[in-house]
Amino acid sequence: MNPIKFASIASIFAFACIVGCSSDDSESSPTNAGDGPKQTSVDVVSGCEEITNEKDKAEVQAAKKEIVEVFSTFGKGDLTKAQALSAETKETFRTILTKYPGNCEAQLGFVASIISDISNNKDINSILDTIYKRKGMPKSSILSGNVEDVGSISLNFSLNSTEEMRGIPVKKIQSAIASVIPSLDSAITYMTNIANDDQFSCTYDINDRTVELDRGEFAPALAALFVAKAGLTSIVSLNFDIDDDGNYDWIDSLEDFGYTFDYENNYGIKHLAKLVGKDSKFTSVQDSWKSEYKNIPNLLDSAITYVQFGIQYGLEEAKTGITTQQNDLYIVGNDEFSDLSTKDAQKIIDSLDIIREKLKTGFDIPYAEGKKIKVNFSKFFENTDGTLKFLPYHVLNDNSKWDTPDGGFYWSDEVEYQAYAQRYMQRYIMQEYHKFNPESQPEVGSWEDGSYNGTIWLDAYDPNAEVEITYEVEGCKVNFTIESYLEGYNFSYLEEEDIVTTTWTIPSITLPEGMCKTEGGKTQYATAYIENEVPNILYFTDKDGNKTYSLQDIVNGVDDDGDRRSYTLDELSKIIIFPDITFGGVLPDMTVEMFWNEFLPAIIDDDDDYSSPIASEENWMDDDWDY
Amino acid sequence: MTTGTIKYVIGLVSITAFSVAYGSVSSKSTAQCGGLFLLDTETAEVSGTRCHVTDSVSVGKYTAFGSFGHYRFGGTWNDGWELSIKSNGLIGSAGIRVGFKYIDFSVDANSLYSMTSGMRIHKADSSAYMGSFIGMGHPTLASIRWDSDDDNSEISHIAADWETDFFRKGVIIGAQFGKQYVNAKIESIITTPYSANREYFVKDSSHLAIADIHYSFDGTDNDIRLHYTNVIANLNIIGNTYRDSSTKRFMFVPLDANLHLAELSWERLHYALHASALRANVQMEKKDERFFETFAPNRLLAPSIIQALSFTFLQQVYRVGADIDIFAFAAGAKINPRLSFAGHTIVPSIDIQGYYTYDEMDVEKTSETTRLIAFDSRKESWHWQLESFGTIISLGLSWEKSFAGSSHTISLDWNASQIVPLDFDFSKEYSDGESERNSDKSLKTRSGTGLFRNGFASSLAIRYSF
Repeated sequence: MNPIKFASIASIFAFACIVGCSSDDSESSPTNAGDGPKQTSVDVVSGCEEITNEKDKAEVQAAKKEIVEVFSTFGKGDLTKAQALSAETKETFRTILTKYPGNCEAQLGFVASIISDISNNKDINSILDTIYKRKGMPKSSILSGNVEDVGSISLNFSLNSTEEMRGIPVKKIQSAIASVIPSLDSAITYMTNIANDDQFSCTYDINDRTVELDRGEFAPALAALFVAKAGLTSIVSLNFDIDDDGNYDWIDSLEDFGYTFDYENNYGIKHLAKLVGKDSKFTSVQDSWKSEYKNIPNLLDSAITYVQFGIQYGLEEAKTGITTQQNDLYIVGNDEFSDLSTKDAQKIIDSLDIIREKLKTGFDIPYAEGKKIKVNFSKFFENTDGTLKFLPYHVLNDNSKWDTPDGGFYWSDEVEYQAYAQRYMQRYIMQEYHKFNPESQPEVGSWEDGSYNGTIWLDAYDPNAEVEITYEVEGCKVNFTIESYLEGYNFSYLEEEDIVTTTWTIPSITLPEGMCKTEGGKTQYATAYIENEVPNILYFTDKDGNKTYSLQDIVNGVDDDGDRRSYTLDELSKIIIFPDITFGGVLPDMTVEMFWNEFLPAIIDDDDDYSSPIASEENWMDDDWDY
Repeated sequence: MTTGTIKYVIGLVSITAFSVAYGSVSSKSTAQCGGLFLLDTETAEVSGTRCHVTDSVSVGKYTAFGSFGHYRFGGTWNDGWELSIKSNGLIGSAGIRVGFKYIDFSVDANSLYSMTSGMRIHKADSSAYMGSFIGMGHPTLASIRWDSDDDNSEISHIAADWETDFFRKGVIIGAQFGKQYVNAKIESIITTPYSANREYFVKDSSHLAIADIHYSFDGTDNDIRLHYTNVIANLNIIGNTYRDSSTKRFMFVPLDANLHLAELSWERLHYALHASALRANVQMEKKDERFFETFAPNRLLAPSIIQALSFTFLQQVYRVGADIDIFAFAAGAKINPRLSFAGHTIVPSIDIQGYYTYDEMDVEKTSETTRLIAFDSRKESWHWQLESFGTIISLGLSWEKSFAGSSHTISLDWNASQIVPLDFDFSKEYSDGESERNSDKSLKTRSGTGLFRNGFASSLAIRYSF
């Protein structure tokens, strides 16, 4: 089976349900995702009841024609027409069901109406309308029925979302989606009754062709409903609140961060720290949805069962030839005038048995040449506390401490190339330039260091400028002088004649205490052994909360007879400690030894420094020279 | 050029096998190669070559003959994928003919797994004869390969051989009145589908009827030749998958073709006038029945859960109808002065023909998508029209050496042709059923574009007789 393709088919159905379910009914009234799932109660008489009244029979037949039209219109993307037709048809089936609650034909029609009723979910439509309007796209384009279109829409959501998603919190979207789940439950209830009756079939006239739907189609359709419910439940259950009360500006501000490296004040960094912080609920399951979320494996199990059920029905029909299958969507048989052979049908049933079993016990997934690891997907749904709890034991420092070096450095009498003061000065210059010219995108091109002075070349783009700045250190104070300021359209061709007079000045600064200290009249500067770029973001601890090493410790390696080398994976395994290396049983066979000795080396690129125990300063700089 | 191509394709089975039996000259060896190249390398390419060596020996009533040849025909079409059709192989053929006073028998077999036997009854002086022949065989007509540009697509590669079982039968009748010769042949070829045990294969169920009439007048200084051929073909080409003892159909192409070809030539010793005309119509009927769709990709998918679900949730079929009309006329003159010295004969030739062709092709494609009871149908149509006139210039050189005091001769023939269009009017129209018919006549003023720009043919033959 191709899981990606399977998922795409399932998502079509899921998508159809998202846009197609009604909200004016008792079973589909809006539900707040945070309030938890709404229970559905539908009375279904088991088995299929015949309609005795001729007039009612005629009404059902007429409504069936309309439902075909609704689906076809829906497929073509004519939202407005489908909307009108669907509302009308749904009413007809509802009336028939009142008189004949056990009539499967009416139940089926009602299910079809629920799925195709795209008009009434105001919450979803209002969100979609807003987003499409902002995108400048007609709203019907999402309903074109083209699988690739659906894919491109979701991709666009994630790629260009900040402006289009403005004012739409993730919670609001989840609530809107949650409101269709009761409708889906009703559809599942009716459809289960229909699929369980092996005598019931229903014919539709489609484009001069009569199509007969029977268990061979009802059961896979029911399976799709289960998959749709599983998908929607996982979407609405998890805490994906990446927005800040509907505000997505923090994503944009991360772009600014690239020009300023302002750890303390950048909105994006602050918000990210909040998302992964100690008390964050991000990626955890909302309390009210926990039982529904844990039930997802059962929904998938039911889906598998009903796909098997449908194919098995085809196999049974095949025993008597193709007579009873003439109008089916697919014919099971062994000759050329059939779609699926009996052997293949049986193989599919058997492979679904294996998948069902593997969903419970785990799939063996290859991760490197000749190596496999067991992944138990069902365990995903047993964990409702989010994924952050599986991160190694660590403490995230308050961002006010990020400029205070913690391990992996020495105190030097001079401001060396790898002094933390170098990065601090450069960030400061970029921030100052960004204040002077907010439109421009500054970056440090290069710098030269002397003992207490040096030069920094600042390049700025759009508008383009190249600035030569010298610095002079007096104790912990740094003074700056702008030596030249060039402006021009083409950065590559800036020359001496492009020198202009600038009003920009750079005030002096004082280096933070952690980077610079003066004792007994002697000033010293914190200098990284290998790499001064990584801020003091976090440190790792053991399970009791005792500090092992800081991140800066780790990136600056360990002393090896006067040389610095990277930590070996074996050494790291004692520093970085995972609370549960099986990640909640998702990787049931994973052990600490296996993770560090087999799994990680296999997935790390061969060129990585971990393959070499000795890491020189040049090696680190080659890899990370992307200020 | 078009004429040659069609003749070549149709003649692969029949003419190659049959001409040796009835048209070869005794006590003579021939080695001949020819090629046809129609190139438009961006989107399409058609080319074909053929080489064969024949030899025959007569002893008394018996004539034994054999031939060995190689043929290659290829065509490719690119459109986000590449479809290529290739037919090539070595054909060895051998046979024997026995001629009695009033009756001849012949039988020959070739490596295409076909065998033909014939009987000819004639007057003692052979001035009138009639005969019949039957044959059967199992050739591989072509290898078809489809490659997607996207290696990650669900199906990125299909390779299928087209094999067939054929049975042919026919009658010939001929007579000679003084210097006039006439002969006629009627032939019927019927193929029955052959199901191969390969994952993908192509088979056909076809009927071809061929009528062929020749008249010639061999005067002292004048030769006149008339030739007319009519081919009526009904082909049903079927694409299948075969997996785990089960055959499924994913393609059905029904073609009805009617081809008329007439040729006339008047030859003098050093020059000749000739004319030929071709009219062909090919129709592909769009069938609405289930399992008779032109292309049904769901049935092409490998058996899997995704395939089983696709029948319910995303079933797509394509139905295509087409109507192709081809008319071509060419007439011209050939000059071939004969230069002889010291047993050598050299005949350079130049042949200039004017041609006119008017061709039309209409294609209508319906794409149908069924998702449970949701049905969507999209119709697209294309219309191509080509009108062109111009010249076909052929250069040839023939050299023959006779050996004094012996009946041995050796000869060499070379010929090359190039199409030079003077006017080329190509237009195409597209309609998707919703928008206005979209015409593109941008090629109208461009002369010599596409296939014709590179139309080129050449042949070389060596003969030795004793």
